[in-house]
Amino acid sequence: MIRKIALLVAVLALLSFGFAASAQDMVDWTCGTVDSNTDAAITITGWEGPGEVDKFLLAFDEFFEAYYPNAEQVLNTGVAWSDYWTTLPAQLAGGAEIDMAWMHISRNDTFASNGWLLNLDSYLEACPIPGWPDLFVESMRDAFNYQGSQYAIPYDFATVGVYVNTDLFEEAGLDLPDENTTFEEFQELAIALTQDTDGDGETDIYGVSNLASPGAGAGGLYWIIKSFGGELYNEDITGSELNTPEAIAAIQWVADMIWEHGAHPTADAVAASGFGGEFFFANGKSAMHFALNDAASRMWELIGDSFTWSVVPTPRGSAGHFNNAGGSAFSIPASAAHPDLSYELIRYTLSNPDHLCRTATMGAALVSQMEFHDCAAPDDAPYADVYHDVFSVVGGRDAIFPAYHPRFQEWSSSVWVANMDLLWTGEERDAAVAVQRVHDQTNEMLGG
Amino acid sequence: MATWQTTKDSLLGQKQTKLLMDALVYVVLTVVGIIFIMPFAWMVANSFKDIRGIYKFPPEFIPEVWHFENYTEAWTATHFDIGFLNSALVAAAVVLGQLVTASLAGYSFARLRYPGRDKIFLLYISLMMVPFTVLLIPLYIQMRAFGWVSTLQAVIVPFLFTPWGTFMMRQFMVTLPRELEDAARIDGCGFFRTYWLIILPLTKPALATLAIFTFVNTWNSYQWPLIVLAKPKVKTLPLLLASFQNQSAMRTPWHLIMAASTFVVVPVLIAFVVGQKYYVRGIVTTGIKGGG
Repeated sequence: MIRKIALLVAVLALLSFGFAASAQDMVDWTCGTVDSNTDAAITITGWEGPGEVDKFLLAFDEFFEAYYPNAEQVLNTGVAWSDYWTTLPAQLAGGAEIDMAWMHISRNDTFASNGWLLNLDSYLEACPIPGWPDLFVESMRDAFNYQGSQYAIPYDFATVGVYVNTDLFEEAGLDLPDENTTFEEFQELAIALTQDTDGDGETDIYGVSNLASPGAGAGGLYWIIKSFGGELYNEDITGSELNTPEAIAAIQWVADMIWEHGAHPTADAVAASGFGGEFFFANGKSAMHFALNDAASRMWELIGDSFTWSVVPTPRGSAGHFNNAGGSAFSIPASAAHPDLSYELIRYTLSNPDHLCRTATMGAALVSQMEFHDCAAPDDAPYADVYHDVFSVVGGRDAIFPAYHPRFQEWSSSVWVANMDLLWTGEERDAAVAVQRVHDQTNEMLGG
Repeated sequence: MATWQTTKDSLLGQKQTKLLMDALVYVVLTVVGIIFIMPFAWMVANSFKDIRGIYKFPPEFIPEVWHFENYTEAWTATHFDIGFLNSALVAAAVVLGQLVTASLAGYSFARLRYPGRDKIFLLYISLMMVPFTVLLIPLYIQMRAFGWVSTLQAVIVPFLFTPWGTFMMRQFMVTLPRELEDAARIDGCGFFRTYWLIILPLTKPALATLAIFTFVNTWNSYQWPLIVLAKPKVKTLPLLLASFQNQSAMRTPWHLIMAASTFVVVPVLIAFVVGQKYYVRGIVTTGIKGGG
């Protein structure tokens, strides 16, 4: 009897596995609204250039070859990141027939509110994307949702971790930080690891790098402000909430790392390097380095065998553990000539399991579908054993980002950067002064 | 004897002082020259390093290992062959076009007499004050209406006319002696023959200056081509060069950018070396370093 039940269970299991597999195989990657003989030329624009864009180009080629062999791809990829955000609005304002455009969480609301992007709700309803919404990273799904409507489908996901030079920790006899390390403990570690190795009075090894620098936007510090219990704006984004003791303490913690403890390179030291904070970590001149997961592969290339290193989660604040998240998506401009075809292309590229692992392996960031986060780190990478936990599990769980409202970029450059740079250049050492200026000007701008 | 000796000493002293001053000037010029050439030399040196070599501290000027493959890798990473052709075609067309239109307009404003000539000239050169950014969207809409988006016409035709070039040609032509024109008229030349046979040959230095400036500006032109040229087959070199930049500066392949920048800058360098005196003369004549 037991044997019969076991056999039945096995048969049922096999059948269900077979059904699941065939259901997957049977996903129709077209939505039935575009003629398979179409000779449409679909224009695609994005900032990723040679190398980084290849993972998507492979998927695009496969899609068109399989379903629309007569259609033409007009690829305008590799537009430099900073130029992309001036070029695309000019093109869209001029009525350019762009069918698919790269979008970023920091710009989605601005583009959506200007009416430049197509609302994708009806598409998602009529021809759902396999795995949507459950298998996609929740914070990224939300990031491209403006006023309750989806305007872009996320393709990647990046979170911040701490890159650690384990040799320097070993030499100093210190334990690596983990997700329970507090900001106070983290600061003590940074101070302990800061060294003047040749005794000339100049710092040779900094405890930490890449926390803040002139020109840095609010996104990079928001998770620290939240960890201390602070906030940038009020709930309906009509005013600032930055002048609280918690937010001020968070920003002071960063400023103190530079000016009070000398544990972080100054803006002048970073400028003299000719690069960013990564220059210090890659050359063994900083013990801990804050960076997104997409920096890992390049860090590996730069460091080689010079020293041993790994990645650990960000520190924990009194208000909890938080992590800065970023990500990008594919959107369809409102002036697209072939929106239906674009939607099918996006749907295929971001949810076909046949190539998502390849996409994850070829890309620097994590893909937007959580099931494929395991594919991201090569087995022989120095960070292979911890990458998934630090950036996907812990990073994904605690991922936050500022409210990227439609006027965020304008606010960021004219209010945040203009005032916070005083702290990062050393013109002002008291965070409360800089914060009060940001607070007042934010209220003035947002009408609070 | 003593007087002769004193004169000789004085001459020798003057000669030595002059020699010393010349040496000092040469030393200063050499140092300034080295400072100016350093970024270029650094670019070339970095074009032969791998990414690790570029980030290395302390930095090394001479690469430890020479990575010549950076050049082939950069060349094949995108369509540089097509980019060179496009840039050359656009630069040649715009240079030729501006030489024709600016010299004709300059001749008209300098020599012909008609009502409102100076007012029209003032109005025309006042266009130099309009920032190009203001024109981007209207011009894009116009190109769309003509069906010229992603065609080379879009980066050639709007730039065939140049207020700055017209201004320069006019300023040069007003300095030419009127007697030459009068002699041509007496010999039976009309306006166009006078322009073609008398004025144009005398205007060669100004034409060369305009050609050099226009070539360099067109070759380096970035913002407008970036907006209007979407198809890979029509992209010009600056667009291809910028495509190497990554969202994160850290992931940018600086070694390939340096290699690509080196071969992209060569034609401009040749143009500058060949027409150096005209380039300098242009700045001296107009007080402007290149026009729109």
